[in-house]
Amino acid sequence: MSEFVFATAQYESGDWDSAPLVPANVIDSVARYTSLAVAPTGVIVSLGSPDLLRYPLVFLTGHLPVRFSQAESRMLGELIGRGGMLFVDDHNHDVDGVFHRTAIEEIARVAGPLNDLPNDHPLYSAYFHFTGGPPTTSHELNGWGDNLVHKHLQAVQREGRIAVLYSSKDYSSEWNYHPETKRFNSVDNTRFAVNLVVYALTR
Amino acid sequence: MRSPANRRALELLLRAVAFTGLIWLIAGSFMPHQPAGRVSLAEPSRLTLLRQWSLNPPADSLSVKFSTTPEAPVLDWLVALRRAGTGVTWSGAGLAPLALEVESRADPAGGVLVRAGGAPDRSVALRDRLGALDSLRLGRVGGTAIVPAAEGVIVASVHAESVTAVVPVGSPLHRILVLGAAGWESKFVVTALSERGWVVDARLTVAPRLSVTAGSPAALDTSAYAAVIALDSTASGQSDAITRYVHAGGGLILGPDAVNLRAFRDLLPAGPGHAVARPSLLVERVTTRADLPIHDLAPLRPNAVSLELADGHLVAAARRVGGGRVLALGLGETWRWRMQGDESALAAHRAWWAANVAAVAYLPVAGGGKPVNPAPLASLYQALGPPVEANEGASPGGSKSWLVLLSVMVSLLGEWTSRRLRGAV
Repeated sequence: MSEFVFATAQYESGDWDSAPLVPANVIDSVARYTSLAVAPTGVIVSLGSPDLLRYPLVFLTGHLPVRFSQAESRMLGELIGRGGMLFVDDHNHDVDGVFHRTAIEEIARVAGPLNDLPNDHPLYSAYFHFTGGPPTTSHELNGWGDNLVHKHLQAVQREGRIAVLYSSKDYSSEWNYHPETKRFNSVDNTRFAVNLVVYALTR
Repeated sequence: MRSPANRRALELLLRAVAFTGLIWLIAGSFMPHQPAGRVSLAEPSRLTLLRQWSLNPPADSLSVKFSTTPEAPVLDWLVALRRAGTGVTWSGAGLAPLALEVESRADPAGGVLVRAGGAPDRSVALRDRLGALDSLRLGRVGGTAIVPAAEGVIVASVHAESVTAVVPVGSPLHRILVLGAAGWESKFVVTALSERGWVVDARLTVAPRLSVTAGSPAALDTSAYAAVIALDSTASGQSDAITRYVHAGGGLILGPDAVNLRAFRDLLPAGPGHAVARPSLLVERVTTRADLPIHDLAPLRPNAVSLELADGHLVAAARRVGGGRVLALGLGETWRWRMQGDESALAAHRAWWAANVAAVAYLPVAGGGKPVNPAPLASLYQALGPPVEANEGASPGGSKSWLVLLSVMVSLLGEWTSRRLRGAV
C-alpha cells in the first residue's frame, strides 16, 4: 500500500515556502492520531510539473501575489479534474492582502468560484468533530491581519467533493512550529489538519 | 440330383419361394408407406413435411440431410418421430457450429454482454430487431462483445447459421461496498465507481477500531450489495460475513493486499502468490496500467480461470464459489494510473474498475436472456447422435425389396431350368 505523502506546492510567483514547518507538524499529527501509512517527510512539488499528479492532496500558501503560469494552471486543472484536492491558506490572514485577492482570482480562473463551506460539512467531522466549523486560530483572536474571525472556509466543489479548499484563517502561521513543542499546548491546534488529510483520503 | 423325387421336391420348394416372394412384394405395394431412402428437406417445407410424416410415416427409417442446422421445433419433431419408432439419421457436412449467450451487464452504464462460441476464425454478425449491432471474431475459446443497447432479441449469424437470444431484462442494481484502509487506492476506487454511476458504501479504516464510512454501510447481504471490494487486510474482520455473502451469490473482489489473508484462502481463485519486485522509479512514474505494481497470483486453482497476465505474471483470476463469484486482482495502486496516466487514463481507470465489478456482481435477472436453443448444432448431436453419411443411411427397406425380387427371379429360373433338364414341359 502506498503511503500518504504531504506535498507543498512550489509555484513560480510569490513565496511558496513561507511556512516550512507546517508539513512536519501535519505529518506528526497524522502519525500521532491515526494508523494511516504516512511518509515521515513531506515533499515539495512544482505546481507546473507532471509530478504534481503523484500527490492528490497539495498544500499551497504564501504572502505575496499569486499568478499561475500556463503550465501551473494546466496541471492544477488536471489535479482537481482527476479527483485531487488543493488546500490553499492565506498566510497573511488578510482579505485585503495581495495573496488573498490574487489567489481567489487564480482559483476562480482555473477551478471556478469559491463558495462558503457550510460548517456542518463532512470535513469538520472526518476525524475530529468541529461542531462550530473551522477552528479559530490565535492570529484571528489576536486581531492580526484583517482583524476578522472567519466563520467559514471556502471551497470549490466538484461532484460533491471538495476540489479546492481555501482558508483565510492563516493555518500556515498556526501550524508553523516544531512538532516537539506540541506537548506544551493544552489542545493540539493541528487536529484540524488530520481532518483535512482524512477527508482527502476518503472522499 | 439324380432322383426324380428329389428334383420334384426341389422344384416345389423353388416355386413356393417364388410365390411367397411375389405375395410379399404385392402385399408391400398396398402398404401405406414406402421406404424413403435419403430425404433432403427444403427449409420452408420442413415442418409441413414433418406433420405429414407424423400421420403417415414414410419409412421405417429416415435419413435427413440438413443444409442448415434445424430449428428447435424441427428437431423436436424428429425426436418425436424417432421415439414413435421411426429410425432417424442425419447428415450435413456444411453445418457450422454456433452458440450464443446473452446477459445484462451489472454496470450502471448498461449494456449487454454477448458471448459466442463456434469454429475459430469465423466472424459472427450480431443484430437486433432494429438492425446490425456489432460483429466479433471467434478465437479458440469463442468471443465476447459488449453491446451498449439491444432491442428485443439478439441474433448471431455465421453465414446461413443463426442463433437467437432474448435480451434479458436486468433488475435495479444494488450497491457496492468497499472495505480497506483510508488511502489513495480506496478513495479512487470509490470515486471511479461512483463516477460510473454505482451507489458506493465504504468503510475505510483510519485508526484501530475507527473507520470512516461513506454512504450507509449495511449488513452484507445480496439484497443490499451487488459486490464487495476488499482491498487489504482491514477486511479480514468481516471475513465470515463475506464468505457467507459469496456463497449466497454475492460478488467479491480481492485487491493484491487482501489475497495474502488467511481468512480468504478458501475463496481465492489463485495464489496467494507473491509481490513482484519492480523498480521503485517505475512505480512512482506510472503512466499506464502496465506500469502498476504487480502481485503475481500464481498458481491458479483448478476450478479458476485466468483473466489477465502482465509481464508473464498472473494478475487477474476468477472462480465461482457457491452461488457467487470471486475475482482476485494482482495490480495495485491503480490510483497512480488514474492520476498520472495520459488523457484517457481517467476514463480507462473508471472503465476497468467497472468491468471488474461487472464480472462478479450479483444481478438478479427479471426475465429474458435465454435463447430458444443456445447451441443448435450441439442440440442436434445430443438429440439425434452424430451424423451418418448418406450411403450408410440408405433405407434398409429398399434393399430388402430388391433382395426379395432377386430371390423370386432366381427361384423361378431354377425351377424352369430343372424342369427343362428333366424334359418336362
